[in-house]
Amino acid sequence: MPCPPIHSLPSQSATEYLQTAFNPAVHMEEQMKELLRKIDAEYGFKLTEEEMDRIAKEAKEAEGLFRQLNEVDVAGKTPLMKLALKGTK
Amino acid sequence: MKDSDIADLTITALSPRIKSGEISPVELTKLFLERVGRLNPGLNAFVTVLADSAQAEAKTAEKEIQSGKYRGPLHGIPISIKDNLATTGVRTTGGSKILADWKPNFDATVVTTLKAAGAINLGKTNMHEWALGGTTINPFFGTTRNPWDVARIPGGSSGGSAAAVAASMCLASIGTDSAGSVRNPAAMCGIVGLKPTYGRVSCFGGVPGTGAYSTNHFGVLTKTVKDCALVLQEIAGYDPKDPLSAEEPIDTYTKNIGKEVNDLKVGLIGDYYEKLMVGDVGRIFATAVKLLASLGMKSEELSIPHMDVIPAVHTVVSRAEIVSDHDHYLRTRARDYSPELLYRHIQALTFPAGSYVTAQRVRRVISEEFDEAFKRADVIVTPVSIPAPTIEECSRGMTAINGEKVGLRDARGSFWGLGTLPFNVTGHPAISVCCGFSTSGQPIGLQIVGRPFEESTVLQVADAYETAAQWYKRKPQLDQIERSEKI
Repeated sequence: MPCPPIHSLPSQSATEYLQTAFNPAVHMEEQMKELLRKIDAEYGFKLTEEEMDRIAKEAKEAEGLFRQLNEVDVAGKTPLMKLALKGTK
Repeated sequence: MKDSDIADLTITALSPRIKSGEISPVELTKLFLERVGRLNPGLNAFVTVLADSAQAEAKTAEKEIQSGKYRGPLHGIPISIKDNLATTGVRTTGGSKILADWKPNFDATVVTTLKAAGAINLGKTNMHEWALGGTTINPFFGTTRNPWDVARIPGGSSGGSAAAVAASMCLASIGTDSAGSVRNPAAMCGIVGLKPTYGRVSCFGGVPGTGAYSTNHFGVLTKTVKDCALVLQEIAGYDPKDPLSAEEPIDTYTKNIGKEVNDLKVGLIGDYYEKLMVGDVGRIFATAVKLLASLGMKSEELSIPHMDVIPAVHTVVSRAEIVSDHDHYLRTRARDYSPELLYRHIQALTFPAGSYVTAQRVRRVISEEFDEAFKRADVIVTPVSIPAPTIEECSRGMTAINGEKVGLRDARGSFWGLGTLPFNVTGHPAISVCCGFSTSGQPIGLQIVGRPFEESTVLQVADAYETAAQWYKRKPQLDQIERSEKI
């Protein structure tokens, strides 16, 4: 996010601005909302701001799931797409 | 036969009497249809009742049996089908507004095989919207009520199927299970629910978008384990119409029913399931494990190192696959989804593609861990879920069990799906059998999981437990429902 000139932030103190601009959570939420706007435009949902906020909030809650997956060592493991299960007895 | 006899009927007990001509399929079907007519306004288990075609099928069955053409144990038996399985000329809604008037011109393979077995289809059962939830609170077709307490949900998504079997409105039902949608409602309604091995039963004719390709299964809901084996026998097998169905030879699923289990070993998965055992569930589960031990089964604690990651795998894989099926309707009829489901689909559209592949790779890690675990145990037993919450608690998203507050949903889905979805991710066969009742009088389920394609062992242990515990003999009191107006 490019840093706007300080005179364009009349309602925010510099400290408040810096806290927001460099807070990864806020940054990700904005990225998510930007992504949602693109999806909204492509699919024609006509989502309200309130709906967008709700979906972004739920998406944020799901981020932990991706983190969990990324922590597993999958080196040498191929995706399991079709189960060809055999008994292991 | 009279209506008061129906509650205790099983397929196992009934079949020989139908075969011998002692019981008429026509009379039996009439009794069941009358019962559906009385109970369905209060339970909303069926969304479509097929009175005319059921009577016609019963007449055909009766003629065939009288002329010596008995087809097998399901001949003349009244059953029901979940409303996301295609039925020729009969509306198949998938619990959705979008498909509310869809009448397929083909049958799902399981419907074809059940027709060939001579079963009588009484109708289509209610379900959670698009089978994507566990309450059967359906905004378009109404809420299905739990026969044990109409203020409570029956579980889901096959809630109509479970309520119909528990209230003896049919003797078996076919459901689908992508996260526990057969086993959870079976547990909450005090009946038997089997999710066979992935690919064991053809999923051809399932409504697209009502289950993920990697995790969906068609399953069986019945009153007893032996009945379940009889139905599985008819519907199991390879189907060229379903590229994901398995070519593994089918077994004789009743072969181990009634056999002792003292040479079998039980595996337990501690940490993961201990977090799910709230209220009475821990005590009831421990009693069930003790009963298995009294039958001679030895037990061993098993380690599945990545157990806690399974819900993440399930969420990412299933939601990414399902949203792909919904793409057309999301572009054309988005507002015909309930808002909750629409938002969930939109959120799935934001999933990074790489996460899907990572999840499928983690799935292999987990599958290999279970392969190792099953070298040390013949079956794994776990609790299924918490007792059924009330409809009001579901709308608040919170329940209290013996004073303990439990959140009913989070990013991983419903709380009660956490007990069942591991075996949708791994594909192992898993059954729910009643193992007792909470202090509030709600049934609790015991989950028994087996090695791939070893349904016979799962059914053997479930039958041994059921026979010893006798919980299946307890029936819901339906007088109040029969007297009630439509809820």
